[in-house]
Amino acid sequence: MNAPTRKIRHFPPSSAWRETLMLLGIAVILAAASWLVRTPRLPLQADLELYQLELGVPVITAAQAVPLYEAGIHVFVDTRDDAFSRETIPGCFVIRQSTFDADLREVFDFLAQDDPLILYGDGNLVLVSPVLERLKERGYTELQVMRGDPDSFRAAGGELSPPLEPEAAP
Amino acid sequence: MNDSAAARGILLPDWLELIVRFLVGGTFVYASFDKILHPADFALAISHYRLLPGDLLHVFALLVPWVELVAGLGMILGFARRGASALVTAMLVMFVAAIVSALARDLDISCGCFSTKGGHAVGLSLIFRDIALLAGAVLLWVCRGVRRSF
Repeated sequence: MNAPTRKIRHFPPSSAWRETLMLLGIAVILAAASWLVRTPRLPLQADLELYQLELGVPVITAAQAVPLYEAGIHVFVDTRDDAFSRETIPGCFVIRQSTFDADLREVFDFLAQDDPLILYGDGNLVLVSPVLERLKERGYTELQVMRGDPDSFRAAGGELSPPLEPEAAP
Repeated sequence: MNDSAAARGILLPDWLELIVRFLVGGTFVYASFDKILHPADFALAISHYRLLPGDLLHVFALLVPWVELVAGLGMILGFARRGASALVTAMLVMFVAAIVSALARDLDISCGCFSTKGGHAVGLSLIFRDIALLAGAVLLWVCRGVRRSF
């Protein structure tokens, strides 16, 4: 009996491209078929506003936040880790994810659980959300998030205060 | 064995090639299931990276899991294996870039790799895992296909 022999298959570069395009084509067809038969059908164009609703609280623009600030009813909460060393919204409280418990203790006596709070960060809602979730857990109910950062607030006509404690900057 | 042909590429032992194919391909097939079943949740996981515009987000969420499945199956079954390796390599490069980008921006998000809800937080361990998979995919890409004939 002959011993097994090994044969080498040769792949010209063009065959790799053909294979890649073929697999991609199969995937596109399957994805399209899956999309067509599935109900409810995911719209092809996403509304990014909807994704912000996952925060479970109203998301307002800086332009909407400025009149609320001027009305003086809402409390603004800066969630940036370096909030003390940066310009911020005057009169804000600082509650950061990294030092949440200590920060909340600092302002606890001045914050009622039904005070309307507007949280903001550096423009990334994902970074605001951990603070938001923990405030919810502590019973704060009137929460909103401002999209954008203090610069957006200034661009919308608001004023900023100098860094709260410049020497506290790391 | 044809020595001149062997010299043109890496020859892996059959058993090693099979293991790499099943590990890398199987990972991609497994990773695709939850995303195919829950495209909206996967779109949400992708949106956390803040990289894609609204025009592309859902198309990406609908297409990528199927590319993962087809490429993973191709790799396991040995069907269009070089094409499958190329797709897996391209996807892994993309995933690593997205994770590095998220880390660079201090995003505290879950990766959305296997489960559309919860899952691993993005971190260095994910990059190492993807680089290990990438090494496997590249190995399959550069190695010559070897078949026993009797």
